[in-house]
Amino acid sequence: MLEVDHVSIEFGGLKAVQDVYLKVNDNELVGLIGPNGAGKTTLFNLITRIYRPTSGRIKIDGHNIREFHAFDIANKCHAARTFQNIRLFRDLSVLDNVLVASHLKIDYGFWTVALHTQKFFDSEKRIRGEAFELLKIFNLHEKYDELAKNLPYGDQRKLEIVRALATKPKILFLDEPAAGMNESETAELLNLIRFIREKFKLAILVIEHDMKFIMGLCERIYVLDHGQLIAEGTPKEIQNNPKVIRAYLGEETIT
Amino acid sequence: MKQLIQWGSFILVVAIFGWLLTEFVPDYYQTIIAICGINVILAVSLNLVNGFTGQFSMGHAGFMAVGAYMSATLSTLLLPALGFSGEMNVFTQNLLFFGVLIVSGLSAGLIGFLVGVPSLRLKGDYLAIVTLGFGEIIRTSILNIEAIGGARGFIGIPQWSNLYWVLGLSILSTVIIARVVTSIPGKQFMAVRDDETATTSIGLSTTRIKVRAFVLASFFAGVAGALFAHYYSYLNPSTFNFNYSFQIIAMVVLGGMGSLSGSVTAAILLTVLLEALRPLQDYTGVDLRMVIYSLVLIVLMLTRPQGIFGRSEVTDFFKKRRSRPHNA
Amino acid sequence: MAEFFQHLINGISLGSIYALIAIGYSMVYGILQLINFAHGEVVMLGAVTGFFVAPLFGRPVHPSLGLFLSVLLISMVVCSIVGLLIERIAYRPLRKSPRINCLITAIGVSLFIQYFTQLDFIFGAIPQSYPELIERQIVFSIGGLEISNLQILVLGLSFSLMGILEFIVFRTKMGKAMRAVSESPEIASLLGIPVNRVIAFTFVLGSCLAAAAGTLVATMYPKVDALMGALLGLKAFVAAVLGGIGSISGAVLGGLLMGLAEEYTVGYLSSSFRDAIAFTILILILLVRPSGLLGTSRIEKV
Repeated sequence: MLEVDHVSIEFGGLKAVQDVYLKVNDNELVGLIGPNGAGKTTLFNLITRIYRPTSGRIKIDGHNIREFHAFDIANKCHAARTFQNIRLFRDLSVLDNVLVASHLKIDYGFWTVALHTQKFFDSEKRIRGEAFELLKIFNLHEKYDELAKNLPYGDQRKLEIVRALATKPKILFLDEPAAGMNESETAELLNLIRFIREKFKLAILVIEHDMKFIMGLCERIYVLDHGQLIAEGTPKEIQNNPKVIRAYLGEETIT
Repeated sequence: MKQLIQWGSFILVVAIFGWLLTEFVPDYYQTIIAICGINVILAVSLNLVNGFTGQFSMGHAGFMAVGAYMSATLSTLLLPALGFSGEMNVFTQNLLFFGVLIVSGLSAGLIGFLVGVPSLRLKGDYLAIVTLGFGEIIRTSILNIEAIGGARGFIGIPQWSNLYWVLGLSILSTVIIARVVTSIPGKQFMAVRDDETATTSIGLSTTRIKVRAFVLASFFAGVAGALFAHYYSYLNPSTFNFNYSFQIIAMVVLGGMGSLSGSVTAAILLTVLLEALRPLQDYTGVDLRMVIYSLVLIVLMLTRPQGIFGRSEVTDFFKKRRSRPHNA
Repeated sequence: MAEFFQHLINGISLGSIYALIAIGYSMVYGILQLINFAHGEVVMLGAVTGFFVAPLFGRPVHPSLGLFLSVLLISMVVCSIVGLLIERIAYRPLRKSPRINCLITAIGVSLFIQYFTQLDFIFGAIPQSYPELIERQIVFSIGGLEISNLQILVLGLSFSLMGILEFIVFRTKMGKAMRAVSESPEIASLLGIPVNRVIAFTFVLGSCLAAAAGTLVATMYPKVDALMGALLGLKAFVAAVLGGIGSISGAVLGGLLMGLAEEYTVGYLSSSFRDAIAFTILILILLVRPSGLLGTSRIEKV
């Protein structure tokens, strides 16, 4: 599904990500961890075509993304993402946030809208209905009419994931989804991510620096430090990898 | 059936009010009403860019100028050359005017596209300055084309525009833009306003959305220009200077960026208010309108930056909690 | 060849006036991220002040360097007060508002001053001629190339003012505070820097330079009108963007280039392009290199 093939990027001589190899198969749940400043977010921005790598190749859903625009990642590669610091359409309602993301379902043009033909009402009703059903799955439907910015923190995170799902992705990138959450919220999120994978049959790549969270969630883990890949394996292998322990010492202890 | 009723009532309203206004209102007030209508079209369309899409264009009068001069060229120079001149029956004349309006709107839209594609990559104050620059370039270009009057102005445009047209098109423009921004695709404009990075992440090209808003707004500005040209039957490039763009911005901001009801209200309010102040202007010998427009904006920004309506619409007051979407 | 050098001289003296104004835009932008649209109007007020003040030193006006300097000083004081008022009334209350609100206010202030000045009991809408503060003389003439004492005055005054500014910004405590605030107002205020005072001081500096520019423009081209600031301001703004807004040396470079471009366009193309060249440069620079010649671009953090 996702193939990061020996990718490097430099910013003014500084190697932020160096020769990283990473692979996510269909329907797999993979974690990417590393201490602060290890280059996780940079790698994420490379995968989502916000940056273009200095060397190496990135393939998503069989497409080389090098010549793509950033917005093609969702359209052509069927990949959607969330952001570390939540980025919702703050002044739009909860439902509208999902509706904007449902743009691939729009099958009518300007004239249909301007003239309010029957097709307009039928199509909009259908798209609204589907968006509402999606909100229902995540128990956000009661709040569909509230502005996104007025939601509690946990719901905002959830809505961001729902919005990403509305683009019908085959792979989902989650950037530090547990950031700012307490223990019980984190536990809930863990179940939510597992549930999403089962329900929507998609691959998920999660970035976190919270080791515990990743260990409990992912099947396979990549560890990044100083822009380089230092380990890859199952949670158990990672836990006992001396390189990983060294990278994380002083940062936080592994439990 | 519903369509038929809507169109029927629209035509009926325009016919009745147009007739009442033309028959019973003194000429001077008719002119004010016509300016109100033209300003409504300009304000509502600029709101699409500056309010809903969160961009800041300062060159709206430039696109109005494109429409105005295009329409004048068509009706005064091209159509007579094709044999349509002198007296013609009401039906032919209005049909021709309709065609002229559409073509003028489209050409303003095309110029909007050409200006928008390169400049909409810029943000905030830079975009504002560049659109200002393009507005001035459009005006200077017109100023230097002798065939359309140059600095002397364009004279002898047939008086095809009237209150029926102004009334009808201001309602139609407002309704179309309202339908656009309340539709699902229309929410993309507001998404760009709220967060461009997030908009990109769900697979939407922000540039494409901004250009779309810009082109649509330019189209309506062009239509407004054509109405203007055929109402006064005289055009002067200096009409479409930065001050006019600024007046439209003042209307949008006063009404509330992101509220169409606000734009309509503010456009009418400011136009009428400033006409009422005209005696004062004759007394001081200065364009007092600009002093007032600028004061309104400063005071507004300091005390109520969201404008009269904020982002709410008149229709919101009649609506209780909206019914659930799946049984709507 | 003489013609070429004549345009060079003219361009540089015009350009140094643009540079004085451009510095004002650049400093305020550097510190507030705000295009102070009203800055051109401060330039205009500098000229208008001279128009009113010069006859007070005796009618008819006797040109002398002393008179010029006195008028210049009074203009600087008046413009500083205006600059302070603009900052205090229109911009400071909006410091925390969205930038678009500040932009709208700035345009509002600019137009308000323009049209308020046009009122009959203020200055009036009709252009007036500026009193002759210094008699124009040709001090240097060789093979058709002429340099007037006014051009030397413009160059001398502009560059000494820039020198003083350079000293203030890079050698004094206040200048250090200004640079700190332009890096980050939050951190500066945590460090105990009186941010409001620093910003006010920046406006005073910019306004003094604007007053000098206004006086110089009116001395070179002896005509004053209420709308003169708009175009001057716009061109100087383009100069600031061209050099890289937020950078003082960029503003000087941009100003000089702008003056030269205008002078050569008028000289070798046509005078009807005089004003169009500014917009053309602006649009080109923003589309090709929005950060300007000496500016650095910033990437938005995701």
